[in-house]
Formats: sequence, structure tokens, C-alpha cells
Amino acid sequence: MSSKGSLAGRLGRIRTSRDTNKNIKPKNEFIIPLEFPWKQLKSYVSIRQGIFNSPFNDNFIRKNIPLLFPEMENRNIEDLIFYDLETTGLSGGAGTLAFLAGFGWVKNDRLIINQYFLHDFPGEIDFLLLIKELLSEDKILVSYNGKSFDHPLLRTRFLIKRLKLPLISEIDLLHTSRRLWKKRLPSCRLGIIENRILDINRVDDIPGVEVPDIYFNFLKTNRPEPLEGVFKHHLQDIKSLAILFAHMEDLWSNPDNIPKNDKTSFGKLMLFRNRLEGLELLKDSFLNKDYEAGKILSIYYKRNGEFEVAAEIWKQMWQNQKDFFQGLELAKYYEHKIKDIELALNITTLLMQKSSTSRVGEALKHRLKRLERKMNSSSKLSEP
Amino acid sequence: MTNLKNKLDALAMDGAFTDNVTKWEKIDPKEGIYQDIPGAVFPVIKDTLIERGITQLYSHQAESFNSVTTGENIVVVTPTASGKSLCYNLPILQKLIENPEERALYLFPTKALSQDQQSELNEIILTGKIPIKVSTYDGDTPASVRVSARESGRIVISNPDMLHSAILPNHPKWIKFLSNLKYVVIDEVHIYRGIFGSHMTNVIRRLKRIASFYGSDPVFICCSATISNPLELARQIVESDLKLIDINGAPTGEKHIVLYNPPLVDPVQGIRRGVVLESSKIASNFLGSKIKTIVFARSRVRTELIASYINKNLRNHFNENKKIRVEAYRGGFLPRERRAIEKGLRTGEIHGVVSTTALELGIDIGGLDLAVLAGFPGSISSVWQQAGRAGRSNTLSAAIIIASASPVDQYLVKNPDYFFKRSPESAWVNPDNIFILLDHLKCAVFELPFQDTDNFSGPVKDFMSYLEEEGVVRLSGGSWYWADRSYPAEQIGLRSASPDNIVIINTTNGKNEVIGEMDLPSAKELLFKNAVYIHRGEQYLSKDLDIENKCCYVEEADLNYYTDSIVKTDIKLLQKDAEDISNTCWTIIGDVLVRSHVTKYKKLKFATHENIGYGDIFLPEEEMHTRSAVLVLEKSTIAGKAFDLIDDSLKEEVIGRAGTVLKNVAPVFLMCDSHDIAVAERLKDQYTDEPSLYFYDSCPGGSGLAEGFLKKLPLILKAATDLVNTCNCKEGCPSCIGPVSERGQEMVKGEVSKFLKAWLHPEINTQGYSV
Repeated sequence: MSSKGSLAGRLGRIRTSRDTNKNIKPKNEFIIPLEFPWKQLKSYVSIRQGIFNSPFNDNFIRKNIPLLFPEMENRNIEDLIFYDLETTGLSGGAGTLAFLAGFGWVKNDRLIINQYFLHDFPGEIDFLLLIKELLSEDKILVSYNGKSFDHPLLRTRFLIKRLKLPLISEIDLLHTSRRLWKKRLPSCRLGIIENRILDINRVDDIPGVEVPDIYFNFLKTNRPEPLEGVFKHHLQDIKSLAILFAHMEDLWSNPDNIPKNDKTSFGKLMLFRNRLEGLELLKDSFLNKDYEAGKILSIYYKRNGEFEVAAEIWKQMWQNQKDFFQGLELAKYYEHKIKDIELALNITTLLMQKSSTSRVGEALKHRLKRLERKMNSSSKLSEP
Repeated sequence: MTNLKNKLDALAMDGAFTDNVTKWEKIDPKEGIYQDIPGAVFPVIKDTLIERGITQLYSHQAESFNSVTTGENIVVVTPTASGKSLCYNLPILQKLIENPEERALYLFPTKALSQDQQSELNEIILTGKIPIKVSTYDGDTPASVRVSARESGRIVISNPDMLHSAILPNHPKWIKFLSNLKYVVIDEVHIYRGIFGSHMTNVIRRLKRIASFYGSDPVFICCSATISNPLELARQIVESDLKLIDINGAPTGEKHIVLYNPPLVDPVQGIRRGVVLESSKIASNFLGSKIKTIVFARSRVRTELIASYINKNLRNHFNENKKIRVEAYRGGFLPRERRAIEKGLRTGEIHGVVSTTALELGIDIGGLDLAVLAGFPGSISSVWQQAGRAGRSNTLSAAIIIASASPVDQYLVKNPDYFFKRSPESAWVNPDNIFILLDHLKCAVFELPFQDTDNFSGPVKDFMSYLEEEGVVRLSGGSWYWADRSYPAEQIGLRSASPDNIVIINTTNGKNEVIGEMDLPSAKELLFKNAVYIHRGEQYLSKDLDIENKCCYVEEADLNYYTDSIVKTDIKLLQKDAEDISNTCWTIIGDVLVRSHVTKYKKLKFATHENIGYGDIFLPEEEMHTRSAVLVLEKSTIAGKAFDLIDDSLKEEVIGRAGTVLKNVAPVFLMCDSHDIAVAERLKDQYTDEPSLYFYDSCPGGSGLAEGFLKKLPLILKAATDLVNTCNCKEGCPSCIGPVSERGQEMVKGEVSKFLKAWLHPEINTQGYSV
């Protein structure tokens, strides 16, 4: 095609006009003095290791306690690998890669964290091979949002480099955080959890969204100083993971330590896992007028056939709040268990007046009709 | 059906109608050409076909089966309703049963077509309990189904946009599918022309690159409507050799094609009755007898106008109980509105529809009896596709094509032979459009790093160095890597040159409701402040076009006029790529810079379309780099000599009019819309220093039309000459060289005619032309 040569020619012209500031070629050495020194392992990959106090106490290590994470059954704390990646983009896809990977594990009373840093793209295969050495199928990964971001990204990188990522199970603390604290925190980002739950306050922390640009800047200038903030941020992420994990398990095995406003969510999760201590937590909450706890408790009793206990809760709730849940449950209870049609009818009528959505309204109308029918037939029966 | 027959018979007797008919062609029913189902076909498939009433194959289906199963790339050319999908479904199902690892990818240009194909395949597969999983993967697919499509879909039905923005950028997730990808079906390949086609070639380049990374090399199966160069187009899209299968073995029912030229209202100026009113009238006549009718209109505005006129006509003639429902259907509607109309047509709840080309593609809207084309749809192959919307095999159907005043229409309606002979139109792409190519190179390097020595459209090195300077890729260790945080495919749309769509927001009475969207260049011409915008029959007045925030605020209005904008352009040749002085004129192909400015608009009254006022438009100038063909009327060339004979005082007028008429007929041969190509005439051009005509592509970077224009120049020239000579007007009209202007003399039309004749037939000219 006649135009092809000219297109390339045009690009060529654009290029020569800018050729004055040639790109600086990447250098191979990379050493920055930090609190822990970096050591260059391969031509484009460096490593550093930090050693900290383990956040886990002896009690956990003796492990004769109930476990929050069922994955830990018959496993050792040493099997856990706390990990986090820093990446060149936040939207994923084949062109996004990890340039910083950190892995932490507990040994004796120490938390050991390895950070691997990729200086430039050609080193990726070495970078991944080093990561692979740490991972094996008998380990358990612990992450924050790793199930939907870090793990698939790592899998993609391994696939592109035709390497095999071991099949390895993962505990994603974001999911657990959401179950426990979603109701009372503005969000369950790690930063918020650190601040509000773990009492960790970061100083001069780098916002995660700025990380890719800092790395690209480093690639262009080869000036590593701005990366220091990224390394620090990343190291803290992994430390926080271990601390959070320990904190969650600690509360789980010592329900007495659970703060007042977390009793409902912990109690709910315990009941879900068939730990009856959850009942006590929920009762406490209910006494403090947490009707969410009342709801969970009453459903538990109802399912167990303890209708009177459940009904007591509904009555208390109904007395204070004429809400749909307790109203309907009471109406059902009066109709089917107590066989007091009139009481059931009264409650349903009241609910009808309050019902806002049409769908709820339809269901109530149906119930109301049936109750009225029953009412009429029972009054007819009692006539003669 | 007898209904339609009666109606047609009555029309044939009606002098008021037949006087305006330039051609009434009855196409006889055609027997099919059949072949036995090949013996190799597995019994499980064969039984299913028999159960569905297919005991024999049409010849083109059998030929496709034989070619695909032996690993040949093919392009099948078939009209509407000729059992096209069996051409790919049969061989693919056969091979997928034979080789349980193999996978196939089906690409359709629209989501609606994908859904149709999914249900068609489902029927075959469910009837025969064939163990092949078919998954649709498009923007509407829920996340949970996406995973199973990737993991276990043997046939994945998708569209080029999804391939471009979701599948290729995430190819490692598709490793299982891509490693075993054996067949790629590209249906409606003729749609991939111009910009869309240029993007498509690059998407296929990327697909092949990734497939080869995973060790696969798929067979391509393309299907095209009737155009003159299906093989050439398919070759340009898949960049491999293909076998052409173009003998159609399917039977067809009796079909009437009526070409209708609305009567002259003013013979001196050549003004005819408007196509909108004529087609509304004719469609209302048939719809009134409950004949299911589709009307195709050329613009969004016209669909709305015609639908409202028809509804008004019917409302006057029928009582409420018998009310017949007619809907408009066009781009800019929300998907849910479209689906509702499609369904209404299938169930018969809606009797008539007025559509843009949006419904031209094979979306299932059930059997219709009559197609009314309000104006030629811009290409002959579109005419046949639209006409094919009425009637299925073995039933009587009709298409009435109503010519508008546009030159293309007037040319075609007066030259019906041209229309009924084999289609002369070719489709063009320009995959090496520098803007498009760079966009896809970004996507490609995101997907996989390039080696310094790699090829894409050619060597990648220069492009990569350019992108390195842009700061988005990085050269390291001999490879180019994507080095930017963004996800490039997200910012690149395949269907237009610019990704910026304007969102149209209705703010009437404090509402804040999105009613549609439109690309930026169109928005500048249609949604400028004070423009009247018509959406689903409702009138809106544009309150503000906010280009920066990509939205337009409109309010409902009740006005008796609509608006039409006036665009001013300036052109400059930047770079010459090829030239030829051996032609009938000196021709150049090159890059141009076009500056255009929308400055004013006209207010036109509904029904009469008379001009009732002007207004100013204040919008920033648009700058565009594109490709242009330049015809230089240099004195030593044939055209130059012919031009030189014209009286100096008329030269400017003649070159302008000649440019207009050439530009006006060009779309017939280039398979593009009339606004895809533009013309600028210069009596003394700054660059060539000679009288020059620029025919440039309206799309940034060019979509192949400038090159196509030069290839088809002899045909375009002949058509332009014929048009001027056969036009009934005396002094020039909008249908040929344009209406007489203020300073125009009655001689202009004659001069243009002489000039074109002398250009076309120099030997006659020397004798017959007197100075």
C-alpha cells in the first residue's frame, strides 16, 4: 500500500524532531539505604527482609481454642502467608503487572516479611520465580481483597510467563471485616480498619492510587527516593494483615473482650458457626435495645421450636416499634400457635395501615382476608 | 397475503400511481439448488436437521461444509433468508463433536444479532441433545455466566467490541478458550467497512497475535451481503486467503420491486414532492389494510417524522378499536425500548415500523409483507437487504422504493437497469489509518509486549518509539512493554473515529432524564443551542450543548419547525503520498487538514419545509487530519483541456457544480453515506496552483474512501454525466448540480454537462464542442 511507507515516515519525522532528549537507559544497580537494606538478587530484582515481633500470643499457638477461620483447622500458624502486591494499574488486564510483592510469615515469636522489588519489566520472570519459591500447596494465603484482585493478577502474570502458580487456599480478611464491622464503619478499607479497630495510625502514608505513577516515574528517571514511601506503605499493609488476623482470632476466642457495639455481629457469626456463646452476646445486645440482635435471636429460637421465648422477644420489640418484622411474626404466632385470631387480626390491620410498598401490601391483604374469613367462620361456629 | 396481492393489483391499475413508477419489476420465484446432506455429517446432527424439516442442503451450505471441514477459510455471499447460519453452524458443530477440545468464536456486529443466533443454536442443540455448550458473551452477560462462558463455552457468541475491550485485554483468563480456538465466524462482514472495518482488521490482527501466543491458528468463516468485492473485503479484514462461495442455492418467493419517483411540483426548478410525505402516504395506504409494513428512512429525524405522519393519517381514517400501531425505531433509543419494539413486531402487536438502517441487519422481527424505502439507503446492497426484510421464502412480498430529491436517488430511479444488474459497489477499509493503527498498537502492547523485531501491520519499531515518547510504552531488554496505568481498550471505540459521545438529557420541569446519546461531530450539527431535536416523535429544544462535559440539555417543545445547520470548511494539502499524471486528470492522494465550523442554522417549517428564518451557532471550530483524493485539472490533461474551454466568467461556477455532482454520485460506488465523503473545489489551489477538486474522507485519518474514489473515478464520472443529462430540470436543481444561485446563469447546467462530456469522451468533444 502506497500510504504505509509515508505513515512510518511521518512518525519518523515526529520522532527526529524530539530526539534531542534521549531516554536515560535503565541502570542495573539499585541500592537505597532504608531501615532494612535492599539486596540485589537478580539483574532486575531486589529483596529485603524485615523481622518484627509476632502479633500472635501463646494462647493462639497452643490452638486448643475455637477458630474464627475454619481453614486453620489442624494447621499451624506457621502455615500462613500474609501477602500484598503493588501494581502498575488498578483496573487489571494483561498489561497490568506487580512490581512489588511482600510475603510475611510467623516463625517462633517473630513475624518475618520479605519484600521483592522489580526494577524493570525484563526481570518479571525472575521476580515471579522468586515468589514461586515461597508458595506451596500446603500454605494458606492471607490477604486484604486478594481473592478478587491480587490473586487473579498473580495468576495472570504466571500464565503469561508460562509458569505454574501452585493451587493455594486463601483467607481474604476483607470479607471477614465486612461481616464484623460493615454496619458501624464508613467503609472496610484497610486504612479505616487500622484506624478504628487496631488503633494503628499511619504517618505520611501514600494513597494507593498514586502508587503506579510513582513507579512509572522511577522507570523514567531511575531516581528511587520517591519509592521509599511505597515500600513503607506496602510493608505496613502486610504487618497490619498479621495484626488484624491475630486480633480477629483473639476476640473470637475471648468473647468477653468483644466491644459492646460489636457483640451483635460477632454473636451472629458465632451462631452461624454453631457456637452457642453467640446467644449470650446477642442477649447482651438485645438488652441494650439492639433489635437487630433481637431479630437474630428470635429466629434462632423459632427454628429451635422455642416459640414462647421467641414470642417474648417479638412482644418486647413490638411494644417499642410497630415494625413489619416483629408484627408479622407476632401475627403468625397468634394465628397458628395461640389461635387467637382477633389479636392476629388487630396486628395485621395495624401493619396494613403502615405498609408502604405495594408488594408488602399485597401479602398483608392476603393475610388479612384469610384472618377475616377465619374470624367469621369461628364466630359462626360459636353461635349455636 | 391475498391482501397484498389485491392491493398491488389495484395499484397497478391506478394511473396516478403508475405515472410516477419508473420501473415495476416482478421477480419470479426461483427454485432452490439442493444437495444431499453429506455422508460425513454425524447422525446426531443429521437427525436434528431432518426433525427441523431440513432433508437436503442448499448448494452453498453443502459447499461451505466441505470447505470448512477441510480447514479452508471461506467467505459466503448470501441474500436475506437463504439459510446463511447453517453455512457455519453445520461444519462447526460437526468438528466440535469430532474434536471435544476445539472451540469457536462467533462475532456479530450487534448484540441483538448475537441473541438471535444464540436462540437459533439452542434450538438445534436442544432438539438433538448435541453436547456442545453455547454461551453468549456481551455487555449484558452477568458476571457468573461470564466465568462459565470462558471456562466451558465451546461456542462463544460475542461482538467485536467485547473482543476488543474485554476478551483480548484479559486473554490469560481465556487461556483455555484461546488455546483451543479453531473457528472464527464473522457474520455480516460487509458491515465492517470504513472506520468500523478499519478497526475490525486491527482487532483481528490482535486476535491472531494472541491466538498464536497460545499456539492456535483459527479458520475464518465470513458471511457477507451482496457487494461487488466480498472476497477483497474479507481478505482485508482477516488478512488471509479465503475461498469465495457466492452461488446461492436457496429458493425465493415472488417479489415485486417498484421504483417510484414522486411527481414534479415545479418542473422549472426540478422540485418534486417530498419523500417523507410520499412514503407516509403509501405506507398508510397499505397499513390501513393491515398489511405488515416496514418503512426505512435515511435519518433519525425522518423516522420520527414519517412515523408521526403515518399515525396521524391512520388516526383520521380508523376508529379507535381498529387502531393500528406504528412505531419509530432508530439509534439513540435505549436498548430496552428497542427490545420492546422488536417483540411487538414479532407478536404482531405492532403492525408497522419506521426504522433507520438499525433494523436492516438480520434481527428477527417476524414476517413482514411490504418494505417501503423512503429514499435509497445509500447502497444497492442495503436496498436488497432492506427489501429482503419483507417476505420469506415462497411467499409474495413487495418493496416500494421512493426516490428523494438527492442526486443518488435521482440517478438510480432514472437508471433502473443499473440497479437490477449485479451490484457495482465495493466496500473499503483503511486498517493502516494512523490514528486507528496507533490505538490498536497500544492495546496490542498492553496485551503482550512486542519484540523490537515484531510485525503488526508492518514493523512495529517506529510506532513503538513514538509511543515511548508519548510515555505509554517502555523499551527494555529488546522488548517494548506497556508502561501506563490506564487500560487502553477502554478509551477506544470501534464504531466511530472519536469516542466522545454526547449524552442527551431531558430537563423539562426539573426532570433529569437521559433520553439518548450522539457522537460529537453529529451533535455539533444536530444538537447546537436552539436546535430542534426529535426523539420518539417528541420535539425537544436544545437549551445548551456542553461539549466539555459531553452532555446536551434539552426541553420538551411544541414548535412548527425543525432546524438544519450550515457548515463552513477550509482545506489544506499537508503531504502528497502518491500521484498520477497519466490519468484523464492529474490525481493526487495525500493527507489534508480540514477545518470546519458550524456557524448558522436554518429553521424549516414542517410539512412544507419552507425556510422561515436563520440563527447563529457559537461552537468551537473542528480540526481534522484526513485523507483526500485531489483531481487537478492541469491544462495538458484531458480534463484540464475540457475545463480550459469554459468561459472564464463561468469557470468558478462550473468547477463548483461539477464537484458537487461528482461527490453526489460517488456514494453509489463507494458504499458509504453521502456525508462520509466531502468535496472542496478550488479554482486556483494554493498547493497545485491549478483548478483542483478535493474529495476527502469525513473521518479522521481516512477510512479508505479517498483511495476508493480514485479507483472508481471512471464510473463516477460516467454516472455524474448521466445524472446531469437525464435530470428533467432546466437550470440545475438539488437533484443534480444544485439549484440556481443568485449569480447563476441558466447556462451553467449546460456548461457542466459539456465539461463532463468532454472529460468523459475527449474524442467526441474535439468535433462537437464549439468555442
